[in-house]
Amino acid sequence: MNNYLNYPYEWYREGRENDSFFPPMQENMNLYTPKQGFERGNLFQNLYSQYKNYQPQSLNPKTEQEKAMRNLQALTFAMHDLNLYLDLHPEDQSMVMLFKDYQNQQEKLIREYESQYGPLTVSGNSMENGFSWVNTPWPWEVDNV
Amino acid sequence: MFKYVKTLQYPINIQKKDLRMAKYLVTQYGGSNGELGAALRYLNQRLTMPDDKGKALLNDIGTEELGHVEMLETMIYQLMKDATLEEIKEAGLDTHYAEHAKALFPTDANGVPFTVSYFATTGDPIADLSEDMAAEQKARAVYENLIDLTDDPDVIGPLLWLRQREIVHYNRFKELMEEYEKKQNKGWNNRSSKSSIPMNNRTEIRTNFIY
Repeated sequence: MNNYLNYPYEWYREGRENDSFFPPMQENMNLYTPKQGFERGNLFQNLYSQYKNYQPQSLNPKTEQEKAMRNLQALTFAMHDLNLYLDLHPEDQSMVMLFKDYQNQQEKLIREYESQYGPLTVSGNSMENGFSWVNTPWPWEVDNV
Repeated sequence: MFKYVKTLQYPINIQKKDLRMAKYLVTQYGGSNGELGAALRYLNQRLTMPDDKGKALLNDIGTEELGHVEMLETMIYQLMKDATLEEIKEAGLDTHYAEHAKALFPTDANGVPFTVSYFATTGDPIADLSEDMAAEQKARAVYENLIDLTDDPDVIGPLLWLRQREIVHYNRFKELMEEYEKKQNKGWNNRSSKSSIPMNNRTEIRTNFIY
């Protein structure tokens, strides 16, 4: 199984000493949507590599809380994968703009989730229902969201 | 500092206990190619990366790996929690039970305990990044072996997802290493192209490159 076939082909071209060997990455870089990327574990289409004929698990949230959590997780995932890209390409303005856009949406989703279902970080504890950090479920428990 | 967020990076809900699978999966928790080793390796190497990009990338991937440690812990816990003593003996986890009961303990699939020698750090960014790239590929290969060993979709889903993260990390490390190599070669080529460099200085030039 040749996983490297899915890696960007430029990395296997001759003439590495030539500056043009490193084209700006966005030239052939298409992104998945946050939901698609989250389900695959990869936001970058040019880096995606399938194993055998396995398809990514489709996450079908059943409750409103699950739906809210998946949206937040998907957006957080997309921001994280952009974050790793931006670490190496901080000058890529279109990606910075996308990150900013996701950041604004994420703030909203966190606020909505925490007001409904309890704090995600200890500082997100609203204290209206006491110190609820301690009695909302832990993520390793079965049937957690 | 680190701040805890009360959610997994990707959801895990394993309904069916499977002790044999728990026994295999533990290697991605505490084995030589596991997530604990990866997290500590990158968070350790980040301090001596030669530029801002390197420090940021090692910091951010290392932090993500801590989230993967939590995912592996969750999978092992959920696969084991309802097991009876009989089932534990049958799966060959009785030796684990003797020392740890149902608590988690980072070992490889053969029970060899986690050791810090798994995160060899050299202080040389090219050597460290080569190590990191190899680690990501080895972890990818082990995830594929683990996927082959189960038919439970609740287990396969997160394993496919974790495997994909290894591929992304591998590519980011590779990109960074190639940039460092390029800078290294440029430094060497620029200086040597000025010609008339005495032979006896060449070793010094070769070893004193700056990123």
